[in-house]
Amino acid sequence: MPEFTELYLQLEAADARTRIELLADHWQAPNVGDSDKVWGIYLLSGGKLNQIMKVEELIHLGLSQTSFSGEFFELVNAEVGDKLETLAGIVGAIPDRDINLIDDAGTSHSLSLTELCESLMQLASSTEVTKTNFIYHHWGRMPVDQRYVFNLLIIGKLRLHLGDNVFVKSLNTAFDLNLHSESKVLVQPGQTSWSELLANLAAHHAPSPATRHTMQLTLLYLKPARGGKWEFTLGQKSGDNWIPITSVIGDDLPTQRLTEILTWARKHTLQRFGSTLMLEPQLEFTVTHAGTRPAPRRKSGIELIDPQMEN
Amino acid sequence: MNSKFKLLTYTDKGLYCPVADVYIDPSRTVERAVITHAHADHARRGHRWYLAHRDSEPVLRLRLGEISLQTVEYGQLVDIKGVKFSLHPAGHAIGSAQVRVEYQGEVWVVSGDYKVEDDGLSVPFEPVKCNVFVSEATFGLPVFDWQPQQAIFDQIHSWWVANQAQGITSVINCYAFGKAQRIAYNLDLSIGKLLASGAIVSTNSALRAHGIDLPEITTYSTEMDLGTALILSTGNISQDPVLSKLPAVATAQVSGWMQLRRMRNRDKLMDKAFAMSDHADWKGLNQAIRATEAEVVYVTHGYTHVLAQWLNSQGIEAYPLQADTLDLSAMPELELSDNAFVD
Repeated sequence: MPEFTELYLQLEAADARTRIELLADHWQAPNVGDSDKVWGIYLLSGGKLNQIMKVEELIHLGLSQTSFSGEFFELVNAEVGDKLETLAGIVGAIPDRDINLIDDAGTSHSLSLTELCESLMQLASSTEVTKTNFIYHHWGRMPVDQRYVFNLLIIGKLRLHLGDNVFVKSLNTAFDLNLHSESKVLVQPGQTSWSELLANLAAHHAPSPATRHTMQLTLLYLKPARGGKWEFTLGQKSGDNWIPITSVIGDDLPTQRLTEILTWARKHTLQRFGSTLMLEPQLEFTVTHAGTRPAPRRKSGIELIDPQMEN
Repeated sequence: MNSKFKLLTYTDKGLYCPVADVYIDPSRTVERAVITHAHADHARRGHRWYLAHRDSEPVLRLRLGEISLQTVEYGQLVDIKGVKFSLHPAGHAIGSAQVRVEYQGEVWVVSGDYKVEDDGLSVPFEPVKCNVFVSEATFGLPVFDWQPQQAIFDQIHSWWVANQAQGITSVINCYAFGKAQRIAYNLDLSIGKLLASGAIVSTNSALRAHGIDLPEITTYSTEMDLGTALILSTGNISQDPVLSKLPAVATAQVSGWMQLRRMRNRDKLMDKAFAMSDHADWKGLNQAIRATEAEVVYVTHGYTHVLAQWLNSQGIEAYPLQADTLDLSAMPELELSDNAFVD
């Protein structure tokens, strides 16, 4: 649960590219169990749990254990801006109750995502008293961030809904796979194991190496990205204008090469837009990709699938 | 309200004691200023005379240059026109103080910024009994609930170690005075090199020269191999001529605001957020306010209306003091006794 909480909160704040990196790191994390990864994909792809309680019921439950009134809760929530986050923040010190559903020996350690989700599946058909005790029990043991994600799960659904291509790209990054970016990641927790998921994807969706294409593109913009990396925006000349074609994080470039590029960029910056450098269109890069698809909102009208810089 | 008269008032220059003609942390130039601590929003240039705790001196002089400064120890009385002023530990940063003001048996205390957790570096907060307490409320929402600082330092330590394992430089964005020293003092520096921006190093050096037990920190530069060092920085990393050139860097913010998701999510380039503050959290504010046994509480800075409403619901007479709008409408009209104007 701590690992999934951290992942979820980081994903909330991240852009699309960073989300792939965060997920890739998560799939490789030694302290994240395989069943937790399966549950993670299920929940992050919009998978639902049975709703244990509605939002207002959960707030009422929380407030009944504090000395805060509903009016005061609204006052605080107006500042925080999220009822489940506000609730997570104010129910920090609820005295423990009798635990009916799970024994204490099983919860002396930090609860895994799998343990929590399986408990919630059981809880759905339990009595109100059991549900209440379960919630009190875990509210009292979790740090505030975990309580927030826990609250979301009690309501039955996370707010993030990531597309299949995000998972495929993150799996490709994590395990050096070559899964097709339009593959479907179908997961049923409890029925699909992590190894089955990977094997199925690899068996049915790996394109042949011949499907990669190559383009020569020119570096147009450079801007800092998360984790000390840099985002390269590359394009081609069309008439008198330079048209951006794709953006790629240059994390495959050797450090020496990256340093050379940054040094060059500082001397050949045409204009700055905040931290983004608009560069003289001189440096060429070879970019490979798995194909193109229409992108009418882009100047180029196309989007490269799975672009990678080669030099 | 049992308090006899308005010993302090709120003016466009800040909190003012008319009997002594003294301001506390004034926002504009005045003749006499009592300074709670050396942060820039409390200690400003231009006053004719300053009174502060002796451990505030090095940073005040560093920031304000040549000033007419009288320093005192905690608890030491200074009599100005019959009003007794004394400073008491606030636990916010090195030298930070609450201001106790006593006149004709009436005692008011202005908290300045404070926290109740002992950070190991500044003298811990001491509640001071008073008739009227002016409390800050920077984090005056019940959602602000700090973890013990050791838990946060363990997290920072683990983050640094993980970055080192990947050959990445770690950069923490923090205030030059207060948070930077707290981090430097409490982190295990045996695992790597600690470097900092010029503002932090000069502040640190001034405090060390004053006798404060702090680790020595070196300024980073383009000539250095920053490698897997931990760097304390005060500015925008992407604008920093040295840090922006680093090929691999992980960045973090250490601030109480990091407890709120919307604040964490504002900076998409920040890799890690640690919720640690030099201000009291909700429980700390409530604990401190109750410990003063004040009959009336004025709440200033931050979530004033929320904390004031909460205190009122708990039977404590409280009013928000709006520093930004100078809204005095919430303050009760009190008769100032004739004696209050006597020198």
